[in-house]
Amino acid sequence: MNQGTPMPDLIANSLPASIGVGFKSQHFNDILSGPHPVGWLEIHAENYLGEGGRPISQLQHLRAELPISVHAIGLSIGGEAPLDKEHLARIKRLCDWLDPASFSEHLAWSTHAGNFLNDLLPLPYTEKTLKHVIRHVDRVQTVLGRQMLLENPSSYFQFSESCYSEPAFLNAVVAQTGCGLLLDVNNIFISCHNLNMSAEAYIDELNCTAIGEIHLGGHSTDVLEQGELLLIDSHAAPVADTVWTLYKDVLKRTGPKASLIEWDTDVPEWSVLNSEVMQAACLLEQQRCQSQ
Amino acid sequence: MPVSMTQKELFIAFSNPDQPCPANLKTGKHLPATNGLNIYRNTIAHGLITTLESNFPKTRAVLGPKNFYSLARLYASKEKPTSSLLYKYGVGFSKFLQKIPALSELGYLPDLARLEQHIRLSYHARDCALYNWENLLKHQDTDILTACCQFDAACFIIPTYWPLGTIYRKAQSGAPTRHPKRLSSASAILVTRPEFDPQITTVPEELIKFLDALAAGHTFQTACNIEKNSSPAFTPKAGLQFLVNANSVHDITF
Repeated sequence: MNQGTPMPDLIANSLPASIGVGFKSQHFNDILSGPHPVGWLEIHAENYLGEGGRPISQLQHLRAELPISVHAIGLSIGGEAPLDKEHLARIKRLCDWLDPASFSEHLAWSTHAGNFLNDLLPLPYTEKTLKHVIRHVDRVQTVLGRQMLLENPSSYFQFSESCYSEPAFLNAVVAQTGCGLLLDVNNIFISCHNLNMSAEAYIDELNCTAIGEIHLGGHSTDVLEQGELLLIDSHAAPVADTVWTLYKDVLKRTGPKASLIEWDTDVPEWSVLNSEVMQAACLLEQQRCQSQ
Repeated sequence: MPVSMTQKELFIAFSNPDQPCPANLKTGKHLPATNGLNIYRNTIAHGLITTLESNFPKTRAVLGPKNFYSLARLYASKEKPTSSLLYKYGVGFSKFLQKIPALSELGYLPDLARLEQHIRLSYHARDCALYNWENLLKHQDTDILTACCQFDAACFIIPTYWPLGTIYRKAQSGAPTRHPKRLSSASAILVTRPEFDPQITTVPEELIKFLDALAAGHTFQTACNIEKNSSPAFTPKAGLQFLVNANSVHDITF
């Protein structure tokens, strides 16, 4: 099995094993004025595909200070249709200019017949889907000339026709394409809760050697009429204790890995985000000590 | 079930809350998959409404948050983005507002939305160096008259019959003008972006056709002639002075 090793002609993921944050423009001055424990930044590619202005100027300053990870949300890797060539070309231009330490996308689809639904939509894990995803991951890696990390989604239902578990599906994509994995620990927790599965069993099944980056974020809870709880991937809250616990479990398997605090909605003051970063940094450091 | 059929069906199910939940969805618990489907539906709708709120803040200020939300929800149910570049979402919002009978008394609202759309495009436009007007001194008047003007990529001219500059600024200040008077003659707003923040300037009436002609690629001479035909008071000096002050020109080609 391929261990998430990129094909020899691709630029490999080179994020440092430290804590990053999802960059928000309101934190620009806080980041540049430092000191802070943030080791790298992640940007959403689609926010930086305009041709100029403040977003590009800010990015130009940030890239001089910290490694950048480019996280795309609009390529529709799991879409049935061919990849949008123009969109892929825009992302290539951004990556060629920025030379990011990492590039990632989601195991999801978002586009159909020229319409973009601004969400990461779920896929049935079938042989046909696997062929689509492998073809698209191959295409993206070839065009960008970079290894791509593929992120596991948060799920609120499953498809009856699925013949792979999600970790088995991800492992198959890694084996066939040499892409790496971006493991969103919060997404595992949400999916496993919502779909009545074991998060530990999910991680057991996953090819953890392919993990190049970890995401940590907050979720919210919806109480259904039946009294059951549905967890929602909101990125609008601190990381839950249960997710921190799962993160420690993942680190035991992977060793210290680049880990990101995601907070995209109701974005807090820098100090709040910083305390989340500190907590993650402590856990990462503990793991580093234990690994030595 | 083929993948294509699943995604086509799902696209309809995700986009239309009235559609039944596809039979091939399950939760792993004794719960209907409808709850999960509704999470996606809500996230999609909420995301699009939030994008429109962010893209049209002054239009929202005029309408009030609740009214804007209702209209944005309706628009989002009819028009999905055609690109993942969400700053471009809402290209048709101005025309959509124009067709709402209940908004007929706010006749300026479509123009305000159109202005906001171009301010957003200006914000993300290519960075261009502004023309150094001292270079113009090196040329003879006859050369200048046959020269053409290349506007900054972040520059847009918005025609209107409303006092749009005042309407925009009032909305920005949090005290929107609800019943401004329609102008008796055509007006225009020039959107420019000297550095990172777009600015708006009301174009004097006697310069509108001059600017339009330059933007269409005509020479200074032709632009001056076109303007003079409708505004005898127009002088080329006033036209050039406006261009210099507006920080809107990238290059003059001789």
